[in-house]
Amino acid sequence: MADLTTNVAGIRSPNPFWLASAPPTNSGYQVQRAFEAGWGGAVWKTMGDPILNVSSRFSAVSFGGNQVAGFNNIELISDRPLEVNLREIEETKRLYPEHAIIGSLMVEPDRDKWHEIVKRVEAAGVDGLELNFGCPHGMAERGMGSASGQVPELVRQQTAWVKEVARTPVIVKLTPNITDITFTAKAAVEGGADAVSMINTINSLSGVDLDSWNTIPNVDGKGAHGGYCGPAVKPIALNMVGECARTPGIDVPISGMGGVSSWQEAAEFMLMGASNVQVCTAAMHHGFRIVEDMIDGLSNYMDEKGLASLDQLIGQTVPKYSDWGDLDLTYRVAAKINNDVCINCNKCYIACEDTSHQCIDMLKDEDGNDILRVREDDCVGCNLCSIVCPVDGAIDMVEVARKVGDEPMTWNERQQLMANAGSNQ
Amino acid sequence: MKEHDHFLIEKDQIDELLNDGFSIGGVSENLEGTFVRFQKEAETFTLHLESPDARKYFAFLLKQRAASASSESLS
Ligand SMILES: Cc1cc2nc3c(=O)[nH]c(=O)nc-3n(C[C@H](O)[C@H](O)[C@H](O)COP(=O)(O)O)c2cc1C
Repeated sequence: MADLTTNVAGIRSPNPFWLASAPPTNSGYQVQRAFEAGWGGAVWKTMGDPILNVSSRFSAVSFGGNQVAGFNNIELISDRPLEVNLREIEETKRLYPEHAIIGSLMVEPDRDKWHEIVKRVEAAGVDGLELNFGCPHGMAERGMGSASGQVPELVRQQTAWVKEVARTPVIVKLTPNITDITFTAKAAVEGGADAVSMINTINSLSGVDLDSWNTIPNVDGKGAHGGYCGPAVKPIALNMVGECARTPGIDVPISGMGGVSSWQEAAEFMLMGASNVQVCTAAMHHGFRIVEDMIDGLSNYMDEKGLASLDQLIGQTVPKYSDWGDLDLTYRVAAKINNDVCINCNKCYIACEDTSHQCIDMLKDEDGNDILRVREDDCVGCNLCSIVCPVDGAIDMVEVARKVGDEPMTWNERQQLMANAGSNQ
Repeated sequence: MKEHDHFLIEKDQIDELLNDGFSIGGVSENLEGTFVRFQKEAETFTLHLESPDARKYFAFLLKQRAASASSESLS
């Protein structure tokens, strides 16, 4: 059986599944139950000056009958006194010494405040710290969370202040509410971060009630933007992890999160360079026991792939992730419709005819049956027909053999050749 | 016109010029596509390429030309 033990910048845990800093890690009672269920680690609900919350706080976006495709919240950090949290951390660590407890912290950009909270939280026995430069609502209005995390210099400076006194590994949790996350990731590394984690939630508004015209969620009729997470954000998070993993200078471990709800997503994040994953929404939706399937699934997958430890999985896809300009312009795939499987719903035809390249013909076979056929030469291999097809195996995207003139060439190569050929206008 | 047919017409035009002894003398691109200047001694001819595949194809010819130039300089 594969070894799932994990080491993120020196923070060890029995498996790569940590609960993210959020309601599931609000108290010792919850974290102890989570460890009992099998979670390898927990990032404690962010500690700082205790806040006041509003009611209500959460909303979800359902799509196509799927509940909680995305999740939105306007909750702030912990509303409990620091001393209460620390007592429970101490107790939990004593009961579960093999599990990782990471203290998530957020204070104002003030050196003394950072020093004080770091020392007090480390004294409770945490295995590491996570600096929350990510929460996009409420705290940001007070100059903390994503307001700090959007300014590389503030990320660097505050990380450096923490590193002046920290004795445990420091993870810097980054906000996705920024154009290029590698800038803030680099700033964290320059400040001395031992690891970075991403993503926190994305600025969002779930919806508007069409009867009352109130926002969703709202507090007695008034709304404010929240933070979005859950399955819908996975592609955004995965790209951010991949971009950081492949960017020189961000040579620290990455703890990945954003939409992880099964072992498959966990494996994807690790292939893109994450050393482990954190989970919030899926645990809130389905409870702590989802971790059992995550552990079994990942372990079986690694056995099937012949992998002995996570090191053999982490980052394997990173070298395959590149810039658009380095992709081969002449490589081609084309759609092939398998008419024996096709149910003639014509979704592919409509998609191609209305919104793509008009390369599917409606024909009759020799018995007079309706069939669809792709004109391979006109197909640009966009994948749309296979994406909208409701039947598994009805459309394959097949590689088109190269002809003379189709030799591999990237956009960057092409532009270089053009520059060398000179301009005539 | 179907995209592939458009490409074949433009590819034929390029190949014809090359068969007639023209070579690529320069190239530029703007909002309307790619303009390739062919030349044969004092004679020049500018071909306007619109189809995406033709705009890839002529770049292949540039690559071929660059490859043969570098192998000639080696030999
Ligand atoms: C209700 C709620 C409260 C959260 N509170 C915190 C917090 O206190 N500190 C923090 O760093 N992240 C907080 N987060 C963000 C999560 O830790 C995590 O970064 C985000 O939800 C993405 O993971 P997911 O898609 O698995 O939910 C919160 C998220 C939710 C939904």
